[in-house]
Amino acid sequence: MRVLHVSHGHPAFIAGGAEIASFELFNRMVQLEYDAFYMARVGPPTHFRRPGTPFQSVPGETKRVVLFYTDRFDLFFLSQVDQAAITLHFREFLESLRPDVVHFSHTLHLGIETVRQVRNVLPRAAIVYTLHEFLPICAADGRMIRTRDRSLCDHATPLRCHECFPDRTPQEFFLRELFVKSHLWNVDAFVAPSQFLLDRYLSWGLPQDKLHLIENGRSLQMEAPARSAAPGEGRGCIGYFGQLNPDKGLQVLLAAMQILTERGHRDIHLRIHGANLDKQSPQFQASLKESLARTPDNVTVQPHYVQADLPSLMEKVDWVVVPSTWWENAPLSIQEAFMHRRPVICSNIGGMAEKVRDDVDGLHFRVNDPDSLADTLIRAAHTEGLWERLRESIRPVFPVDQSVAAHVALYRSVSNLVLA
Amino acid sequence: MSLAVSLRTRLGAVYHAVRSGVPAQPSNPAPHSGSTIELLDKRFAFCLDHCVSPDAASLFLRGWLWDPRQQLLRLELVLGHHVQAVPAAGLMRYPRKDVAAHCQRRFSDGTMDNHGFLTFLLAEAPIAGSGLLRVVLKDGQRVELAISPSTDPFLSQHQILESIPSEPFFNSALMANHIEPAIDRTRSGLPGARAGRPLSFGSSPSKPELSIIVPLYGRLELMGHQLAQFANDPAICASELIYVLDDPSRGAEFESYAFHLAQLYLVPFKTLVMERNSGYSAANNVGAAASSAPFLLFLNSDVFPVKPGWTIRLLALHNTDSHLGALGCKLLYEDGSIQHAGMYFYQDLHPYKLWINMHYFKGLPRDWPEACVDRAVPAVTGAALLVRRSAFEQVGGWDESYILANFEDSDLCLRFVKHGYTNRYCSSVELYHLERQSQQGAESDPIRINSDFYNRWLQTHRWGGLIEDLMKQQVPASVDRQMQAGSAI
Repeated sequence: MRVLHVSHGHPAFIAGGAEIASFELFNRMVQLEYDAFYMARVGPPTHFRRPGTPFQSVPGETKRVVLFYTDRFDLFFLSQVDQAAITLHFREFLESLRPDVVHFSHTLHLGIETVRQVRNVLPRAAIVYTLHEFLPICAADGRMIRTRDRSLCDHATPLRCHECFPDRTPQEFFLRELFVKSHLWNVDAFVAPSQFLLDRYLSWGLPQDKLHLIENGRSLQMEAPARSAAPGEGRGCIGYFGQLNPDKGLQVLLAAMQILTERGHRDIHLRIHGANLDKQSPQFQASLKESLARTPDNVTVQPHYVQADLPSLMEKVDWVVVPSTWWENAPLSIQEAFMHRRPVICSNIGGMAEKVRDDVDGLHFRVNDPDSLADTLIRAAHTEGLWERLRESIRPVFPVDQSVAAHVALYRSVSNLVLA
Repeated sequence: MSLAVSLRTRLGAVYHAVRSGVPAQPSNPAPHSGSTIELLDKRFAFCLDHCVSPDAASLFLRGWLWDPRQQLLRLELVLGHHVQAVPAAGLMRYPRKDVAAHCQRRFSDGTMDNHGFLTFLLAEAPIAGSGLLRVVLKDGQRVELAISPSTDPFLSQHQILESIPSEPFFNSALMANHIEPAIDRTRSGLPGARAGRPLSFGSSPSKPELSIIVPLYGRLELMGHQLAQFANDPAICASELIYVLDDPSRGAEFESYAFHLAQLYLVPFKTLVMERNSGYSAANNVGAAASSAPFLLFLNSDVFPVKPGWTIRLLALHNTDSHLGALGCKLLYEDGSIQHAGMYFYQDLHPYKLWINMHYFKGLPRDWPEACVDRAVPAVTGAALLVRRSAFEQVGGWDESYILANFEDSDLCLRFVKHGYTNRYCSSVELYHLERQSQQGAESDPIRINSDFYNRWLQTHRWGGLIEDLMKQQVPASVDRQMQAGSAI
């Protein structure tokens, strides 16, 4: 069984959660001697266009990894503007490789048409599609947050979407949904890494019998030892790990830290380990930098880190905080916290509330509410025995080997269906 | 408004529901904009705004007169060696507010009305190049104006439409005796509507039961959206699908896009590009002529299926009744409310009692009780209209005399009725119709308003009696009854 993984990015060039999850799955499949290939989209500014082909390769990488360069994408219709990329180059690639399974981890920047093209070229191939955020449903970066006030959105209609984007008519949003769905219609199995996400896509209209819940698998790291706390010190070291973008709740977190200072809780300390701020809009970068510069001295901003640094960084914190103001799906930072057995303090919505059980292996606070977060941080730091109890209840993280097994089983069952 | 703009909106892709309203007074031509003669000592002035030759054998004149002493005897048209007399009584006179204001200002005279005149006349000698218009007064004085009638059919149509008097100065005799024959003549000046060489993409089915004809204008990308949906419907892939582009300037772009879409969606289809912008009816007729199946489905490019298999059900229904003319179905807006559940006619309340087209239950919820009943209706929209080829040919196809894409569908349906067919509405087939809003600004364009008005008048003029009979047969809506019976809502 030959499997082609198609991803919207390569983690060597963009370290997003979805890219990492799909690359780890592919990598482990190769290690386990599956006949797997990986096609990742690249674009500016890390790469440049070659004449006559979208294909490129990674220096030193195996033949199993190819890069697919695109720089013309219709973000509204999720459609590839460069027609030859799909109808010529991608087709010839598929004809040459002839995979039995094509597993899309995303089609952003590639074009939703790639799904249709697989069905055209390989009528008997099984097509698997992993869902991440809500991009097929929501044009606001797939966040399902209303653009006017950043409030949470629980369903999309052409009229509601038009409210978020007054320059686009309801008819355009209607066409967007029809267009995207007409391509997804060719998918044999959808994988959702969280029940929350699965339910959203179910209510959007994807068929229940095609939706499968498989958590993102992770290559496990050696667990970092617990921070050694002085007797009576409490558990007040909080860590933030991950991307810095407008929906990650940094402003809520900083406001909560300000409240703690005002209330005199100087023993609670936050370390921010952020990533990818340079990929955000200049306005957001400026406003976050300004907020960070004004932070009280109970916050320290740490330099950029890589995955390998994680254990040593985890060693310095008791809790990991995930204060996102959008729904999240299956945040990497929660998996990483649990991998190192750090209880998680998170917003009480969506994928976060699903992956972290309140008062079992973490604590929930009211989303977007700095007071609620401040109260929760005080409770976390000062409640005798709470940290130890929650830490004990943390379940093992879904290892990548199990993820491979679950995916292979899915590929087989879908292939049988296709063959039947 | 420039001519280019008016031509661009000629087939504004999909025609829209009729608005009630009256012709706009063209804002542009000031009363003294044409060739003007002023004889102040005789208290007489004459101005020619438009002089067009709809075809080589007729002439349409429009202008105004200030003639409180009624001194005009006749006009004389000098064409080569031939002199053709046009008696003063042959001019259709009507009031013009703009001219009245001008006369008040310039001649300090507010006594006169009916300043405006227009006339359509058959020329006694061929019109070629320029000539003279001689104004002859009762005292024998003659004044000459050089004329060079416009022969461009589009420009002529534009100027004739612009001449339609605004309410309350409109009258039916003026329309029937002057405007309509002049407009009608402009068509003979046009070359026949033809398309270039058809292109075939994919292997078309050999003996299709259904030909689907989609005229395109403006938003080409809707073809891509439609094919993305059709790709998931084997019944459509087994039909003959024809896209007709009514905009030769975009022919190359269209064909290269079609090539890409054919490779991506694997739906077989043909393309035709009209040799000139010819209008919705002509594009449909050319598509029909190039098609082969016994059934024809005329479909707009902004119509999308709710689910696959709908053409099979429409065909099956049409096949049960050989007296069926046009078969339509339920069309929905993107929010699921009804856009169309059959069409009926409504007699406008303004003094001319023109009939306008209305869609049953427009805007109401898709499961509105009466919209869920299959039934005979006066007409159905051309956005999705299924006919048997033999009947379509028998009634003469789409009528090309309406302007700017309006009323052709009701006209076709009325011709079916006249030939003894019944038009029907099928409630169980649902399609989305994104009734297009791509013509922003066109609503207030005076030519658009006047052409709508002209079309409305033309339909009433041709079909008023039949429409009245048809509407008498319509059973009043029984939604109230059903609702009182507690069956819904």
